[in-house]
Amino acid sequence: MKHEWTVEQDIATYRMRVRGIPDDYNWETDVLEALIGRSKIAEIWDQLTAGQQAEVRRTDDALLQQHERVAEMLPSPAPHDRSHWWWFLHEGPQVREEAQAA
Amino acid sequence: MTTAEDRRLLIEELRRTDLARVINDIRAARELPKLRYHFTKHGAVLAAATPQDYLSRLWRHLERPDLEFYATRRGQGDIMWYAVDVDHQEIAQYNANVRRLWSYYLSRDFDQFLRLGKLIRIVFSELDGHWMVET
Repeated sequence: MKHEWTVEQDIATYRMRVRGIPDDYNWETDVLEALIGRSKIAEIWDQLTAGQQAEVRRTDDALLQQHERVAEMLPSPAPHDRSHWWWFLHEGPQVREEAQAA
Repeated sequence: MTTAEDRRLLIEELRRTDLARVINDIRAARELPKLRYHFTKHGAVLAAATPQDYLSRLWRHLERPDLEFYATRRGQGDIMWYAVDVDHQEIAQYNANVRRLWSYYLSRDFDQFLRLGKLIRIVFSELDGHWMVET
């Protein structure tokens, strides 16, 4: 039976994965799991408290700072909506603002 | 991203590899370097209370008879193996170049990880009685 992820676990795991990206040890896995996890959080965004949304945005900031390393694992072979800007970081860090402006 | 040529070269290398030996090594591995680092990162979601508890869970995972095995090239060219309990989405990662366990965690969505990570599946052929690369 698959694990039932809580919102708190999703947020904490996303944060841990993004923190791992600068580390050479296992960064490719961290990038993939961070991007997958960020999309899961987007699916339940309205269920997050304001504090949780702020925490995710702070982690998003950290992800943006690692956009060059993230780009090495992109583009994704799967289609993604542009609102999920993290899948388009190979185009540059401006994709978040572009998605928010759209 | 892994190119088609990279994938072809990896498949060739895996076909030259003693796959059964690698899988036996993975199943027999007991040490996880940087245990506290991994426990801090993944222990809570795996409901492991202590680093030793986390390690014990990893050992039990490696004993599961239904593990699926995948491989890809990572980092500086190392071939990374993934021993996956698909039902529970638990993964033990193993670096075949240094012959060491590399991590143990719960994937958020292994089906997606499989596609995005461009993993190559290693399957046991009942017909031929040995492990082989699935292409």
